[in-house]
Formats: sequence, structure tokens, C-alpha cells
Amino acid sequence: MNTQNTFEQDRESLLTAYALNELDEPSRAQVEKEFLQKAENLAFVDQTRALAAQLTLDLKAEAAKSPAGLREDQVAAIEKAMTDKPQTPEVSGKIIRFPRTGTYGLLALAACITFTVIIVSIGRTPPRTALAIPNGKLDLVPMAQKPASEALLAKDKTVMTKQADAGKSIHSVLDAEKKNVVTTAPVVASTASPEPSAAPAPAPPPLAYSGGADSLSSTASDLKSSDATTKNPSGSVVSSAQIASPVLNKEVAVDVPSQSPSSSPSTPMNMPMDASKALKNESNAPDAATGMGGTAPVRDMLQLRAKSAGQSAMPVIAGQMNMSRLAILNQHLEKPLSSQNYHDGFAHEIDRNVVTRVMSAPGNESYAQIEESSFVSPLEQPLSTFGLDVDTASYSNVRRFLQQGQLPPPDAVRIEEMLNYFNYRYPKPATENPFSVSMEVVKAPWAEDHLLARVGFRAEDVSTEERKSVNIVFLIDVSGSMDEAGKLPLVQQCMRLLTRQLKSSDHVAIVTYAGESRVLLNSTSLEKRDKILTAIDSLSAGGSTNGEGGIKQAYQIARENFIPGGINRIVLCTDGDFNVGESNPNALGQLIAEKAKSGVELCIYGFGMGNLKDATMEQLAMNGHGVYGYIDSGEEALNTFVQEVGGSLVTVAKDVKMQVEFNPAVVASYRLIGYDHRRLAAQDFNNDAKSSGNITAGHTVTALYEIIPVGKEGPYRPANVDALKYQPNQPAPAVETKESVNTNELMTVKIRYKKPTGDQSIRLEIPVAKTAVNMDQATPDTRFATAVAAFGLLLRQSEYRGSATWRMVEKLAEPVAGDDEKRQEFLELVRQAEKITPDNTDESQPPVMPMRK
Amino acid sequence: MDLEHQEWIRLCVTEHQRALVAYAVRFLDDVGRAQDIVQEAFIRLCREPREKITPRERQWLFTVCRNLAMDILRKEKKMTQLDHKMIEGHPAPEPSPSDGAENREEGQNLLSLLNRLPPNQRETIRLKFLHDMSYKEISDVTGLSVSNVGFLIHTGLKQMRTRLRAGTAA
Repeated sequence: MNTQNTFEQDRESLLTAYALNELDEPSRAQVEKEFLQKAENLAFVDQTRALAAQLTLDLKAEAAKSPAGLREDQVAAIEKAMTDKPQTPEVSGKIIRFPRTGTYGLLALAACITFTVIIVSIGRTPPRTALAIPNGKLDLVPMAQKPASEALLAKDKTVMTKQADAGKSIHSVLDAEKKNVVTTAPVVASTASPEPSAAPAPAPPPLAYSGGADSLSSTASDLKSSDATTKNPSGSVVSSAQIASPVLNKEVAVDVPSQSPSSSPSTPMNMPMDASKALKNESNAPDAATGMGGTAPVRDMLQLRAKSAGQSAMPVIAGQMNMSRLAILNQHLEKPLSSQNYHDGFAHEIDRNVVTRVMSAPGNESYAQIEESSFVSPLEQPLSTFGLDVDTASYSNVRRFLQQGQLPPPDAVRIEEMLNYFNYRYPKPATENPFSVSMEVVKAPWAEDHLLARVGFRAEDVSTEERKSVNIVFLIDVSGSMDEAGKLPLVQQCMRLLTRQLKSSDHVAIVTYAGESRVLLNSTSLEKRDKILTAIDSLSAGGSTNGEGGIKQAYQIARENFIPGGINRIVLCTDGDFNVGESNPNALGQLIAEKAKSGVELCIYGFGMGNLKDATMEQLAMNGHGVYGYIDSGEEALNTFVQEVGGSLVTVAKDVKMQVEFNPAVVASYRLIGYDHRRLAAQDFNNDAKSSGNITAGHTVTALYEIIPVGKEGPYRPANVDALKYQPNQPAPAVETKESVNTNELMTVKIRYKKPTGDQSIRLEIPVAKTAVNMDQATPDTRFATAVAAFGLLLRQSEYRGSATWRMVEKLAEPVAGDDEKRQEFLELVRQAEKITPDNTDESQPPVMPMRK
Repeated sequence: MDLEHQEWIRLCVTEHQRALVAYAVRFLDDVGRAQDIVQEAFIRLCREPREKITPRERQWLFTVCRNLAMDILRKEKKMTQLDHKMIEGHPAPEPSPSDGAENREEGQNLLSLLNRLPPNQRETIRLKFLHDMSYKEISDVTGLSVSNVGFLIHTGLKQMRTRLRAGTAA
């Protein structure tokens, strides 16, 4: 199908959606503006509506003709199920006339959950057992040969009750997973097996059913094909592993030797009974997991499982587990930034997926865990080093949560990104340096005697006219998940706005990626602005995602159209779905870091919600020397995309690092607030090969240190170390300072940066006096930054939040918010957070994470 | 299970049973079996905490019915491939006698045209117009993306209109 046809089809699809009132307001308006001027389109809409109306009438009339509901006995059965204990298998056994359906579904679920248990057990136990997993990868073959049974059993006895040999059991489960539900039949069949020779009196079927004659016949035929039946010592029939049903039969087969020695005729050693027990156990597992009485291990497991949910839960549950799915699971087990990722409470959602197997892609957001830096003594670590960060994504994300009426997950709160979201009126650079540095020391409002040192950067402004030419490659995620009002349409809106701001010497290309990447628009001069706008309009979503192929292609185009001395940038717009294909985030990160050396920056903008891989995107943007922004509204698009045309598009300094040396004569201990992912080793400061963030024109960057002055050490011990065994612990070694030390100096801020085109870094050094002012005498910017930091500490439920409260934040911010829209909005969010937090919650207790709807 | 929960389930049963049976019949072509599936769906609902399902109980019930029906179809057709696309690409069940009757009836043109569409288009169109679901709800039920749902409905309607115009109905 040629592209023209595709466009045509998409346009008509859109019109149909419009006719059926399926569009949201912006899209409606857009359709009305762009299409409904044409009579032909209007007619199409009218005809669609007429057909829809007639169809609705006809369908409803047809349904009214045969208004079959449930039979009375069925309603009674439901009544019974309602009052029965929910997990008793008898409920389903007695009532369901569809043993196959229920059973197979449950079998598939059980298999899936069993498998998950394996993964979870493996993923969690490496330090204690021999199951070391390099890089968190799950290597199934070696695993199977190792004694995993201990871990498995420990994890969930209801699921894996009787593993005699973990190797076999894993194989059998995997076999089961590989086959589909249809083939996982015949435990039931084996009980009712028409085995002519040694069949005992038919054992009671594990699940009673009335209408299953047809199921019997089909399963019986399965049985006939399997000739391998053996007797166990008690003389009953054992269906061996060759029978088509691998899950139970194999487990059962493995089971036999371990139990037979103790068997006596009185014990229920005949295999059908065991099988039925196994079946019940198996089918209990999903119930327990999904129903009310879920056991803790299963819950945990599901939570863990949630990380891989959107992708793998559905196929796995459908019973189709093959190696490629395992590969995907592996990828999910591999974390880009830390071994533990936070998942924001979607286990609930996932539970439902386990039961129902479908439902739409669940929320699938993950955040890298943030470990806050603690107070450290300058005697132990005189230097604090970090890379500057101009990202603002976390703030938008936090705002999204709060506006939805829930507190954000703590790990989604990156205080530095909240600080840097706001505009501060720091002095314009007056020297030859491309940015100014200003500092202020105030008394911390949330901890008595503590000081806050605010370091503010402001990059020089560059007007649109004098900025360099731009070579932008838009890399647009057009996977199915982007097909929502807040995603692709918003991306298009942003692109249009940006395109209008560019000048004629600039170039724009568009690469899309879904299942495959495609060059929608080759690098095109802004002289052909209309062509670019047409291409933007033609974007449409559908298909799966392969981020990597697209990125490679985008870099290639960016390189081919490289503007020396200009701004060469890839702007990636996605909802964060990098999970199909070769999307190992580490490999992707390396690729991007490699490509970044070519002078092409990668800026990532996250759109929409529900599928956001925050950590991945943050890391990728870091690797790509670009920024990462999160865009959740049209206004935000204006903020991030367009106001930054003069800003984000012009890097005034790159690899900007800051190092602060604290004066131990004055500072007992200090703590950098935020920048927890940006900390660098002290020696990295002077290492020009170690890259860091860039500062772009017009940006301000703010960092806050909390400082405990000498003599005011409170409850926070400087460094969390044990008492020394071989050295005297008390008193702390006398501060040995250079003779020339100035005890009026609190600290010295050192900055290194490179000119945008340079490789040699430039170093600045600014001493800071220890004089602290009261908060109400501080500059408005410092007061506001303090409020933002306090808000972040509260949202993070930080142990360092001291006496901070929502009220305190509000009181700090209110007088200095002025008529700044962003700051006013901040106040709204603070009030919202206060409203959400239950009144009776003691603020020292972290508030309970509200569930997503 | 508390009374409130029971009340909720009763309400769901009253409210949705007919729609669900009508939906399930389209897969299985047998009212009795459709009823069984619907019963099973409600029994499963009993095991779910209410707060997990509301306010999407309708989609939830449709989804469960759909999966149960798919399981049966799969088994009967001895299908080895679980991919939904395969199932939806599979020939539909033979038209039921009632469909045949409709074919002969005047004024049932539209429905007979509908029944000639591929199964996935038929299903989405029924969910849209008989069950009054939004694209999003249909996407929840079927697991298809919203855009895919929109595409299927659009294509189905367009096909029907083309055939109507060509007068090839009946």
C-alpha cells in the first residue's frame, strides 16, 4: 500500500471517529477546522452517522427479539458462589458446566504464575544461593541444572508444592509454557482415562462436571495417542511425561519416586488423585493471587511481575510462553540504573490482567530508585561533585500525579528537576563566561541551626536571530500506544509550533518508528515550511515499538546533514515505550553515548502517561548529552518545546560540572539536596573525558546544599559509620586546616565547563562567605527555591525533611510567587498535596500510596 | 463476602447478563453455551474485590466472556496458535439459522451485511452500536489498540456502505 493510500485511510478513519463522537475536544476542533470545510468530508460524516443510527436500531431490535439472559439455575449458582468462600475449588467444580474452559484457563494461569515464581525466586535470591545471575539476566539453561528447588519452595508453597527436582520441574513448566492452552489438557482426561489394562475404578474426577461429554471424547483421543502409561507401586495408572499435558503430568511423574516408598494402599497414592490435588493446588494459585485472600508471596510476585506487565503478562497468560518472550522478560529484569526499580502501585491493575488476560495495556511506569545522599563530614569528603542538570521532567510528572489526586511515588520525585523547572532571576552573566554564578546562604526553615547554601547559575541569553542554524531530526514514536489525545496529537502540535519558530537556514527531518522505522521526511530546509507541516500532519500511530532502529536512522540523517558549528539535534518524542526488539536499555545507552561524540545531541520528550519509562529516558538523554522533558499538556508543550527554541536549541556550555569544597572549620556536615543521579566522583571533576550535562541559553540551574555548622550537630550523624575499633573515636580529630584558612568562608564553589565546541574545560572558582541571612531577608528566588526543595523532601518522604510541612512550603512560596504562572501553579499543587494527605496522617509516617483507579 | 459486595454482583448480573449473552452467542452460536460462559464470568466476578473492578465492571465482564469463548473456539478448532489475529482471521462460525432467516427477510439488509464482514470488524461494530461502547472501552475488551478499533469499525462501516450502494445485499 503506498503512503498516499495510508494517509487517505487514516483520514477517513479519523472522520469516522469524528462522526461517532469518539474524538476528544482538540481533535474534534482539528477535524472541523481541517476537514469539514470540504463538502465531500461533510457528506462522509453524515452518511456514517446515518448508517450508525440505522445499525444501532437494527442491532437493538435484533437483540430484543431474543432477549436471552441467564437461566434461573445459573443465577442461583452465582448466588451460591457469592456466599461461598471464594477460594474453594468446589465452587467452580460444582457449578461450572465448562470444565474445560475454567480448567484450561486456570491451568494456563497457574503455569504462568509458576513460571513467574521461578523468575522471581531467581531474581531475588542471588546473594544467598548459587543462582548468581550476571547483570540480572536470567540464563535459563544453566539455571535448570542448578538446585533451584529450595528457592522455589521457599517462595510459594501453594504453587510449587512438590518439586523433587528443580531442573526437571523448570523444564516441565517451560515445556508447558511453550505449548498452548489447548494442549494442556489431560489431568482430567487421565482420571477418566479409558485405559483398558490396569485402570482402577475411575477415581472421582477432580472437578465434577455435568456437560462435558464432548470434552471427554477429545481428551480421550489425546490419551490414546500417548501410549506411555506406567504403574506406580500402588498399582494405579500413572500417565507419564509423554502425555500431552506437560504441566501436571510431568510434575506428577517427577513426584512419584519421592512418595512411593512411603505409600500404602490406604494413602491416596493413585495418580489421578494426586493429579487432582495438583490441579487444585495449581488452580488455587491464581485465585489466591487475584482474589481477596492473596498470599503475600504471590502478591509480591505479582508486584514484581508488574514491571514486565504490559508486554509479557498478556502473552504469558494466554499460555504462549516461548523463548522470545523470555528474552523480553530478561530485558525487563535488566535495569538501566539500579537493580531495583520502583513501580508505582500497579500490581492491582496487573492482578486483573492475570485473571482476565486482556484489559488494555496497564500503566507501566517505572522509576529508578533514588537514594538520597546523607549528611557527610567535610573531613571525610571535603568535595561534593555533580553534573549540572537542566531537566525538568520530574516536575511535570509530579504535577500529573497531584492533579490526578494522588501523591507521586517517592522515586518519581527528583528535587533538582523540580527546582530547575522554575525561572529564577539570577544576574545575567557579566564576564566572558557564558553563565553567571550567584550564591546565597540562608537559615534552613525545616531544621533549626541548619543552613542552606543556594548556588544559582544563569546561562546567557541568545536571541533567535543570532542563534546558529539548526539541524533537527524529529524521531517520533508512532507505536499504537501513542494514539491518544495527550500523545501523538500533542507531539504534532509541538512540532508545528517549533517549525513556525525556525528560520529558513534551518533543516528538519522526520523519522518515525513503530515496528519499523521509516523516514517520513528527509532533511528539508525551512524554506519549504509547508512541506514540513504537511508531513507533520500526516503522522499517525499504530504498531509496536522498536526504539533502536529509529535512533540509528535518526543519527544517520543528522550526521548526513550535519551543520558544522550549528546545532545538530535529534528530538525524540515518545511515551517511553522502548520494549520491543533490541531495546536493551544498556545497549541503547551505549549506542547513544557513542553517537553523542559525533556532535549530535539527543533530546527526549516524554508524552502522555501510563507507559512512561522515566529512568530509561533520563539515562538515554544523559548519554545523548541532551535534555529530557516530560510534556503533559499543550501549555507544557509551549514551555518546553517552544520557549526553549531560543534556549534548549543553543548550548552555551557543555559538560558543566560543579564541585564544592567545604571548609571543615565551619561546616560540620553537609548534604546536597537532589541531584542524586548526577553525583560524580571527586576525581571526575578534572577529568575532561568524563562528560556531564550541558547548559543551554537562557536556562537557570539551581542547587541547594543543606549544611550543619560546626557546634550545631543535631540528630543527623555526619557519616553513618561504625565506631572505630583500632583508633580512638573521641574526640573527632582536630580540624587541621591550612594556616591561611579563612574561617569566614563556608565553602568554595568550583565549576568546570567546556565551550560548546571545545574539548578543553575552563575552571571557575568562587568562595562563599558563611554569613547566613534569615529566610525573610533572603532574595525571593532563594525563598522560592527553598520552598520547592521542601516540597520535594515532603513528597519524597525524605528522612531529611525535618519539620517541613505543606503549610511551611506554602508560607515560603506564597509571598514570592508574584504573578509568575509557574509559581502560582506550584502553590496550587502544594495545596492539592495537602488536601490529598489524610488529615489524621502523622506526617512522620509516609502517607499511604493511593491506588490508581 | 459482605452484603454490599453481593448487592453489587446482583446488580451486575441484572444489568449485564443479557448483553453478555448476546455478545457471547456471537462467538459460540449457541445460547446454552453462551449462558454458561456468562455464568462463569459472574462467578469469577464474585472472587474479585469490587474496588479492583469498578467502574469498569462491564468491560471486565465482556473481556472475561470473550476469553472464555476464545478458549472454547480454540479447543474446538484445534487451533495451535493463540494469537488473537489468527483467531479473528479464522473463518467465522457458520451462520446460525436465525442469520439465514434474516438473510431472506426484507429490511434485515444491514444485519446481513454486517454478518458478512470479517469477525473482528463484526465484533467491534457490535460492541460499538449494540453495546454502546466507546473505542476505548472496546479496546479494553478486545485488547486491540484504540486506533486499531477505530480502523476496524471504519473499514467495516465503509464496506457495508459500499455493498449497500452496490445493492449486493441479500
